[in-house]
Amino acid sequence: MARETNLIKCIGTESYEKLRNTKVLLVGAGGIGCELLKDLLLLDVGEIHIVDLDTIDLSNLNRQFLFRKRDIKQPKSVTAVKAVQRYSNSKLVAYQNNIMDTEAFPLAWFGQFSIVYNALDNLAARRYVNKMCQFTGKPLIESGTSGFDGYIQPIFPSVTECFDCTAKETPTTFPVCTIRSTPSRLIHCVVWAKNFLFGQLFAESFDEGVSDQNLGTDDQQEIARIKEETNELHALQRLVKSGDETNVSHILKKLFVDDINKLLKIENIWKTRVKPTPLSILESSGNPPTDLALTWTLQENVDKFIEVTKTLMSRLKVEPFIEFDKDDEDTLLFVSCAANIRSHIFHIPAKSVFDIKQMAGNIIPAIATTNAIIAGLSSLVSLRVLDLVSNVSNAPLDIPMAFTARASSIATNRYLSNPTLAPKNPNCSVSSNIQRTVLKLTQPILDNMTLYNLNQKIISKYGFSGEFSVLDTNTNSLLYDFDFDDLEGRKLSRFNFKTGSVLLYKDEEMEEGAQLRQSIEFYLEISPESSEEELHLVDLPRYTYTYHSPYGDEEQDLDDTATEFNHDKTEEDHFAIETLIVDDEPGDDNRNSLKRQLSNSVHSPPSKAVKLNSPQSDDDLILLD
Amino acid sequence: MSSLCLQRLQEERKKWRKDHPYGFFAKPTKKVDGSMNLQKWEAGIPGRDGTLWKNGLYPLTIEYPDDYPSKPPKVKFPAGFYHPNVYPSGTICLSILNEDQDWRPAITLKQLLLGVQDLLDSPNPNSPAQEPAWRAFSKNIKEYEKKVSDQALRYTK
Repeated sequence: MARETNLIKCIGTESYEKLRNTKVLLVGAGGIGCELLKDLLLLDVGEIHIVDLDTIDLSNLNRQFLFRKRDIKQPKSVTAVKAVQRYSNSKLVAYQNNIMDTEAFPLAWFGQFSIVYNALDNLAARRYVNKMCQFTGKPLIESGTSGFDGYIQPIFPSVTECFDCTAKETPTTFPVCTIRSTPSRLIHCVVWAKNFLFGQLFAESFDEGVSDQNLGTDDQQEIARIKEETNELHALQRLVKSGDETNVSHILKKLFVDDINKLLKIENIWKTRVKPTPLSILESSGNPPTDLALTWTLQENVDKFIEVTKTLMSRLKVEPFIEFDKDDEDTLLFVSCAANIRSHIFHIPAKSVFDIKQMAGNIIPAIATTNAIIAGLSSLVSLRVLDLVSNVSNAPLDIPMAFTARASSIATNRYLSNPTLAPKNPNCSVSSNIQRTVLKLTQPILDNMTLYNLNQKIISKYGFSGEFSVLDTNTNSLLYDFDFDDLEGRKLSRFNFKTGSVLLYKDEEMEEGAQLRQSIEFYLEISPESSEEELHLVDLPRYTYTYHSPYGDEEQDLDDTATEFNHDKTEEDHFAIETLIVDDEPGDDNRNSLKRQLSNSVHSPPSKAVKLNSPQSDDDLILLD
Repeated sequence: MSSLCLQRLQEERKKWRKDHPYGFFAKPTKKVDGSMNLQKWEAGIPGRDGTLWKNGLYPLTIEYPDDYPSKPPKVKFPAGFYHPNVYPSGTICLSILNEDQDWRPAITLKQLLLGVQDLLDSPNPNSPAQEPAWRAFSKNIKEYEKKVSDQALRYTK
């Protein structure tokens, strides 16, 4: 019996033939992606393009079943295609590239597919593909899993709820004060060790000192004190860079005795809290522990801290800097021991390196079965989205999404809920009150037109009011608004426009209840080879919407209690999933930008799920694959 | 950055232009290419009349994270700013600026800056962020007052 026999029984010859002639895009070849690729080609989908930036890692192999040990370090997309080629009736095209790369994947490229499947692990890419689908009008099947939980959500652009129609859960952050002065949970110490201490000692290169003018004081004593504080960290980094192993005891003493004593001097902090106890053990017993699964004693943590600091110091002789990586054991041990020593000082129970690895690395287990279920649902629902299933209504609002009950905290005896799709959120800035089109800029246009010229043409063509703004949404730069016209005279060629830049024109009339022209997003296509001098603007219907200030008519003053401090508020003892310090220098966030950031992967179920929520359970937030 | 963040920041700018308290200023900073960076603003807070702070217009930077308004902005005075609740780095320790405490997405720029203005003359001794100002404030009020007045002169309106 041929493989398609049963499928044809289900959907009929005609639909099967349509499927054979369908071209789809699969974004992501990871946990869900591998499953989905297999599912789609078992459906005999005509042509599947698969995009993934990543290479295969050892830790992928337990669930990304198309990969073997020999494939480690190979590109995921290409390897996945190789693995399935021999039983595929589909044409397969693999790309090892970032889906957000506008040169590799311009808007027109997205336009060739009938449907897009997201099998992504981060918010940024999900948002981007969502937006490209809004531009092209192509349906998108969004999906994600986290542990035993998962969801799928078909998105019909400008009809049903889009990815940005609901607020997404983002990583928890901690107050600076808690991290720097008054940790009360182990996670606070882990954040301190990882984001503050490790970064300061091994990862960053310091600026030279603090300059006098930005201190806001002329008091020499005061200046001296601030400089001291900054310089102390410089000094510590110099000790580390010196490579002189005898310095380790200084480091230990400075971090866990001197700094704690300084903190103790600020008596008020300790009126309502238990005082920390400066570290009493400063010498190694010479017998560092080795079992990462055990909770070590204070002495053992100190032993290991001394050992691993020496190792990191000698590594700095050949490496310009070291970044924290949960899979780099030296860095993990340093953070783990430092966090445990600090936790001891603050009377917080210690944990094993293995436990701290999960906290520091934001690890949520990815489970193959969940991925398989979600991928299966994704491919099945797409048959309806593509209108290939008869006897049911395939109207967008009749098509279901699906999410696991546990992910939404609904206590029922069923694993999956599958309500029909919600209509788009009228306040969503991605799917509502916005039109989208392509704007071609040729060389003569770039050379001759100023921003002012362009603005005038667009305003008169599309009927914006005099109050409008122009935003480059790729760089989040404001180019023009009611209060900012510095750049109006600048030639378009002098802006950093490239193919893929998206300009947002927005009506900024601000009377409550005013009729605003729908915003327009222009996807720029730069064609330097064209000699066309005339700017062509596509006809668009002029829709308006009523302006409502998001604050209501007049905001209320904050009541007084809101500005009071309440550090003593009991913190919920949930497992914190991310570890950002609210303080500290900008740019920190960018350091790991090359590595896919797990911290971006957090996502909650779509609104139907959220609306049904009782207080969210602890582990329903992260969807990794 | 989410489009929600951008949309909200444009709204903040509009609202501020329409209505802001006397003596305050707030505007996005410029990027090197001359465009405006809606995620990083600079602002000035006048000391309230009748307080030690009255002579000063105190500069602030406000950085909006990508997930604003779910997350609060990072608000800083210049490093070394003399105030019991300001860290040596300039970061302000104020509950409405903390996600775990009283931050709410509906808090506007105006409310936020008024909150900081409030804090200037009503420091919270139970939440010290730097030693010198805290110590002087609780142990040697004369010294505290002198330092605050001196600082006000350096940031004259």
